[in-house]
Amino acid sequence: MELKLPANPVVRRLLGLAPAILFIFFFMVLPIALLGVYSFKPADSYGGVEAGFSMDAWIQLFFEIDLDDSLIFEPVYLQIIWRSVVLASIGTTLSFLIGFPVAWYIVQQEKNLRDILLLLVTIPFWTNLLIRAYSWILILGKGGMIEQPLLALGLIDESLELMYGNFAIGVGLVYSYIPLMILPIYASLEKLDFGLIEAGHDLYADRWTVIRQIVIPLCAPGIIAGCILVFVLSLGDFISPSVLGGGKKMMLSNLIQFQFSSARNWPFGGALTMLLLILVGIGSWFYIRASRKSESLG
Amino acid sequence: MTDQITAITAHNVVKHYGSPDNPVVALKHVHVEIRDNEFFTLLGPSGCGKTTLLRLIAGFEQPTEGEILLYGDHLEGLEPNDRPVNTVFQSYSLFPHMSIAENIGFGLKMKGEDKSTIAAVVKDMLALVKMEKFGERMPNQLSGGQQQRIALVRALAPKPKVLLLDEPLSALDLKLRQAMRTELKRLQQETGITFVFVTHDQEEAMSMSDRVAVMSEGEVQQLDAPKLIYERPRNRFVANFIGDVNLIEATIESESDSEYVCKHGVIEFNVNKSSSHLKGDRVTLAIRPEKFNLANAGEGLFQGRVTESTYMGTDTYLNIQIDDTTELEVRCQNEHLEQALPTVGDNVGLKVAPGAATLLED
Repeated sequence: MELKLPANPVVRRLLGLAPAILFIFFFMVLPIALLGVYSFKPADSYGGVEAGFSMDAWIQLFFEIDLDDSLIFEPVYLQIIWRSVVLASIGTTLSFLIGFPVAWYIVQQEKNLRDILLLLVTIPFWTNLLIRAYSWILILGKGGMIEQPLLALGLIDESLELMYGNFAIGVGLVYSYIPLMILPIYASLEKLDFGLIEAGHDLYADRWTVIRQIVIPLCAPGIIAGCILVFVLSLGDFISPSVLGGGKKMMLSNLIQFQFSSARNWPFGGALTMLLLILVGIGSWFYIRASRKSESLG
Repeated sequence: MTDQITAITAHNVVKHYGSPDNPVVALKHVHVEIRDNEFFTLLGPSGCGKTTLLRLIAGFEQPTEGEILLYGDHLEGLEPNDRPVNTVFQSYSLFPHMSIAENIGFGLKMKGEDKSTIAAVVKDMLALVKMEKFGERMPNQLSGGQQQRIALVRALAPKPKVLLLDEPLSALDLKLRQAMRTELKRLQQETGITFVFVTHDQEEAMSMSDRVAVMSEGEVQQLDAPKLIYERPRNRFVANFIGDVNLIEATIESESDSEYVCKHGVIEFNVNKSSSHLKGDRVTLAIRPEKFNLANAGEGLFQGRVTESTYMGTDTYLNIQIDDTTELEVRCQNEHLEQALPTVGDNVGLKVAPGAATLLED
């Protein structure tokens, strides 16, 4: 049987893209749209939604309803969002400060060693994230691998209280997502013409200046990709805050998870998710716009 | 002759790569002196060590043994950014994220020059290569030849004491390459900066250089003016690498104060006395194909028979058998349309200009 393709080039192109379009529609657009719709519905008491339209979920983001039904500005949720953004930003910055030198080091090695090092970078992904988060308790916790020797040597008298706070969450975020910083930076460094580095040295730039003025601008696409990946995933991570933060410090992702589970307030969870999406979208847009200039030169 | 100032001295320079137990030898005991304000060329096939020597001068590599001096100052241990030499790279290596003006000004900026000085030099440099209007463009908006010129003036802008050029013309097409040769020579003369030029192209070396060092297998085979390299090659490698050559086995028959008489069969050649050979020694003579003149059969110094004739436009290449084992390549200029050149099978006589033959050392 002969398959006849439609003559119209636009239709033909769409036909070719159909699997991708369908996939994205059913697994990305539709679920997000549903969440968006749910956020405008009244919640029922069993975790579902009722028919009708309600702004309650969105109002709840910013206000508390007082006894006399008037709205009082209530920043508790905004504070959680702000705290999450700050923590994700710190995690991203630290990941870059650690990840860039690592990628730089790997790319300078011989081909065989490079492959091995890259494999080592990805190995943690082979283990469940939750298990890896718990293993940090053994390292950071009371009487853990860090404290034990220090206590034994008498360098400290009491516990450092490393666990269950912003420090532990930060460690968890950096540890979890740093491969996603290293790999895109490595990819862009690998494409970098090392003749340009020699040219820089030759023209009286010292090592640090060459990295700042030549390597980093030319690897901007990789750096930006790594930062977006780490930032977005850090912002949405709920394992580090709950396991390593001990759930004491509520983060945006914990809050969302909580709405869909214990709190059974799907519309509010939907509104929080939409807000997170909007925040990430705005952040990415700025990043991409900043990177477009450097990319257009590549 | 006036006293020559030496720009660069490479003194017994040895360079090994790889592990000390199993080293790859890139340079073995190279000794070169490059004079101030000369156009000096390192010529040789790939892997001969010419680029290694250039990279040692630039500071990208450190010599395993020996020392390199720049106007009398030792360069050992100095980083490339601490050496007053600049390089023009084979692949140009213009910074793709900087405009042409920023590229040219980069070296000066790193040296801490102020903005107005940089702007003035950039303007001069663009004028030097007649590209005044290109300052605001980006490197990827330029053709290969234009990028080449920018790479050149970027390296010239900080006024280096020596300019190193690593096969800068190899990526250009033939016409452009020829134009750039003239331009490079002009720039060298206008700026008065010592140029050290690396190439595998003998025509480039011949046409631009004041002196040429022919390199092979990590050693300098001959260091002379282009004319002497061509006319008086020192050994088989140089004779073969530069131009075409006939190598003729001969025996030294007799010697006078300044000359040997060498005999190949019945044919006699007078050659300048060079290294110490004795009467009766077997030697190799080099004679360039255009040094022969045709004569009628039976006339001239010796006789031969044409076995092959190739018309090449300006010249006709003839292969002429002169005895059982020796075939010579002879080049005749095509002077006019009706010129009667011998054809395959013809017997011809051959003459050789005096002093055309060179005695090779090996």
